[in-house]
Amino acid sequence: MNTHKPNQLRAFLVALLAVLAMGLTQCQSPSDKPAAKETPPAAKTMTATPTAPESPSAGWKTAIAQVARENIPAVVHIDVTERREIANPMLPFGNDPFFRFFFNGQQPPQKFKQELRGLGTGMIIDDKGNILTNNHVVAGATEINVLLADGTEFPAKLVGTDPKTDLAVIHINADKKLPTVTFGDSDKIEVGDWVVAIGHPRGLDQTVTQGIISAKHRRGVLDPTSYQDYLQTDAAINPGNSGGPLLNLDGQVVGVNAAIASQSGGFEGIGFAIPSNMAVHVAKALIDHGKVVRGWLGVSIRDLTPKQVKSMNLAGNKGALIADVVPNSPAANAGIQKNDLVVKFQGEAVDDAAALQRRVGDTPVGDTATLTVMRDGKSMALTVTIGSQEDAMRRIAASLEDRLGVVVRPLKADEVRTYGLEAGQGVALASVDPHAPWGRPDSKRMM
Amino acid sequence: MILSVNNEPVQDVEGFVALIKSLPSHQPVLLKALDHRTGQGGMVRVTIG
Repeated sequence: MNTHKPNQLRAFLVALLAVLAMGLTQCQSPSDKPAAKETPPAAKTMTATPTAPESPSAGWKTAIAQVARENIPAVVHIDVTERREIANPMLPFGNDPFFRFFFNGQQPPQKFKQELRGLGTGMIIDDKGNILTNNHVVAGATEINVLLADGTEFPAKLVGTDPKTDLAVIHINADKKLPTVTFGDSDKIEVGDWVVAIGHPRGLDQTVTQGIISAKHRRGVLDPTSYQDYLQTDAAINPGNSGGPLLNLDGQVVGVNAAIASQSGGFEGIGFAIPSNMAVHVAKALIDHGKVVRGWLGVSIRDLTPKQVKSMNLAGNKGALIADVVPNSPAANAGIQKNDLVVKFQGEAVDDAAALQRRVGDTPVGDTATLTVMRDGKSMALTVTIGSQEDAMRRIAASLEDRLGVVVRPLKADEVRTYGLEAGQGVALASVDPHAPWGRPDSKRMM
Repeated sequence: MILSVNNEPVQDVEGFVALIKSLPSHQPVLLKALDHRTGQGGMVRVTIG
């Protein structure tokens, strides 16, 4: 009996050392053996392969291959041609005798014709031939061609674009059954989840890359007036990937690849995708109505500054601060006031101004919504009937026309490119009444 | 195309309207503008009605 005790103790010590050694291996080099540590949760559901994986790493390797195999047929290559006229950059010197010499004393041409070609990626979202892509892939296109993964090619027509989210839907008439992608719930994806990108970077068709979700809710990436709530990923995304799917390991689209942060112009490990929940909402609106109708509250909103958090004696910086209220707007009619802090929308916490903008924009026009606001340290609930952003813009444009005699419109994507401007810079005068204040010759002069 | 009003950058139609609304009537304002026919930029002085 006693002789067993040293053996039992030795066995216990050996087992203890083995357990400790395993623990240290996992803690010391998690990145060396990622698959040996843990199979990503989503991969556990990818068990379609008939044989069990031979090693722990085989699970997620198989999952990525399966995601690629199932989705590549529904990912398309988009070729875009844009024909346009550009202003002659030499025109300011047109009257200079030196330049007139080169044009035999005649005026140089006012404009040049130019043909630009671009490419991007898209995904077939239904069997009717609708394809989701980025607005910046197809904006300004005079001709769109789609190349399917099986090599067949179709001319495409623009169904609708939404520059505010950088999404667009195009359509092809195919006389055959089309493969489609399926969408997942982007709200449920977590930082650290494995993702797969498929696209046509630099024209290299059906390129598959993988990475993880690096962050969620990224804003301020592009035009500050746009609706941004990007998923950030380190899955390689390069020019040409735009409009392609970012998929979870269940093979569901969780994002639409749209942008990269880069000093060099190439991929540096920071890519951005539009979350699928936003993409589905916009795509449906574009297919059903050709445009996105957004809700409107009639307020200017700001994020809280640290100074405001202190002066308002708040526990944190969550919420959207009302900077101004448009008279006779839905917000004004609901009793919302300047300096109110909106902390909840329909019972859900509002983290910042962009979150409130997104929630209001997504709410159908005419619906009522309850806002929880903090005013003078007290919480109160206000009910607002959501208005139409489109109607509001029409009213605003009408008031501007009355006051100044001008009609303004957003700049078009081709104007931004032609004149070397940046997205979110400037407006265009669509018309000027010659009898109104801004139309009178004595009211303006070039300086 | 209008790029700024009194050196305040114009980002979009809403921003332009907000800038104009904040200005008093019958006062001159300075616009940074771009002529779409020539691509030439310059400053324009106009009076708000």
